[in-house]
Amino acid sequence: MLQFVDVIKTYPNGVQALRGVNLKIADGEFVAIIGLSGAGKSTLLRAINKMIPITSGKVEIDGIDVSTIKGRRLRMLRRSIGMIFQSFNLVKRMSVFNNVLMGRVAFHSAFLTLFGVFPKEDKLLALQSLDTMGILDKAFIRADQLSGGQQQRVALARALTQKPKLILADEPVASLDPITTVQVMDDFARINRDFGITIVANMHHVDLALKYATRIIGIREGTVVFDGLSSEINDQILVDIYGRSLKHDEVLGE
Amino acid sequence: MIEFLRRLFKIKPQPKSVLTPEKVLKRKPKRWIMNLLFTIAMMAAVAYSFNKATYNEIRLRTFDISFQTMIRQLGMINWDFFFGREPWEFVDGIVFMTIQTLAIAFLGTLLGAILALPFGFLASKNIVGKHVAVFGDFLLTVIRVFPEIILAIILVKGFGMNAFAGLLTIGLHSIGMLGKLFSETIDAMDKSPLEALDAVGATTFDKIRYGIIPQVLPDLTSVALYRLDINVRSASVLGIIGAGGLGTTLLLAGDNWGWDTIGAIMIAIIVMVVTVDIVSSYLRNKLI
Repeated sequence: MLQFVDVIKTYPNGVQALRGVNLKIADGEFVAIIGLSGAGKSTLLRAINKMIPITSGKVEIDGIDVSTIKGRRLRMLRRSIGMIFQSFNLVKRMSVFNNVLMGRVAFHSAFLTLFGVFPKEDKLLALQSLDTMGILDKAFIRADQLSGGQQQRVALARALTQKPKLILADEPVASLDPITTVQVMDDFARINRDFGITIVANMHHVDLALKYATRIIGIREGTVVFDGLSSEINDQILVDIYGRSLKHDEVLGE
Repeated sequence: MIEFLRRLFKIKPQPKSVLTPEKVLKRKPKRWIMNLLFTIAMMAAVAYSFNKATYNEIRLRTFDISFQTMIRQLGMINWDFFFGREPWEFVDGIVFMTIQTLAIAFLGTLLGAILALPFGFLASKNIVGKHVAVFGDFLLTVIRVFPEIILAIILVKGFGMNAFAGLLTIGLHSIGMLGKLFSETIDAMDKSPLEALDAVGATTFDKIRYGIIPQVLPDLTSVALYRLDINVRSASVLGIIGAGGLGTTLLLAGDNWGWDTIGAIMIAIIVMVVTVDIVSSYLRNKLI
């Protein structure tokens, strides 16, 4: 279980990204965080695995207070949380296989990883993840040879190889075309359903968020203004989150 | 201070109606004094340098005489010397010396590249942060400041008149430039994989091994190959101080007025430099 208690984040330049956030996310949920750019979505997501340290409050994962741990214990925590980025964050000059294998780096000693030695189970696990994502045939191609959607699948495979309990996704489809977007979102839904992995995703597209996520968290100026089922969302709530109602052409459409 | 200067030179805002193109033209900063001063300083520097650098009469005449001899004899290339007739007991001919020069340059560059790697990381803001990077950068500047020839003289004293001294000179001297270019390459690379590696729980060491090295290795190799180009030239010259390679042969031939030998050496140097140049640009094109 993931829990935020009075989380406040103030950046050194004085920007208050989070102003007292309280949240509880149960295992196996598919949560979408929506809100304007700069509302604090990315900060909220990155506070979970301490990619961004919070100013005050508490972030707890299964009873561990993330905000106080560091060093080895922090790395141990991070390796159990997958993360997906808007720009995929692959090493483009490396093969797909090696990129996926990166999900296992934190499981081994520095000495073995120095020489690029990974146990056979890890290699099999990496290939299984690629198989799950349907891109097993691309394993030994350089990552930059793939399309955007395929690269995001590689990133998902990398996250799966960590055998995570939780996957954080920061705008996972924002740089993909509409058709690829639907495919990648389907992949998220499948992972959530088949493996029971909790998914917390920042989303730009409201209709995508409503379609795929079971729960929506709306953020405005660092405060949670809506937290509920996606079926409860109506125009008034969107006005609360975005400051005005969305026009017809601002949603992705079916 | 900057704020003060900015205020000092700032054109005071005036009502729009008063401002005409003619008035603005009058406010154009007067640069001619600076330009004139610069021109005078430049001309003085040229005149002074010319005075100091030109030959005086006596030197010029001597040079003239030997120059004619040199040109005539340079044409009579000593082909016998190419494959080593041991004109001096410690030289095995130009082919051998060329190979030795290439070996010095190659090993020196390799040594320099390996040593430059930690310096590159130490001077990279991406890896060690802004403050340490300033220190790393300073270290590299210190290394670069040391002229190659001085370094060679010291190392020849330390290790004797041999190729190893040349190798070491080239290796140490390459660190300055390679380290600087390495750190720039590392700073210019795509940082997003590092974020991903952080998120999987990787250590700094893992990030270097899997996030940085695979990304920058082709660029670093390319830089090192370029340096190899430079070092082949250096290696031929350093022999003059006794650090092995073609330069030593050149020195001995020069001392003995063996212009025909020098002609042969020059051909070897030209062929070698051009070949290395072609090969290294070909490889660099392949890499990137």
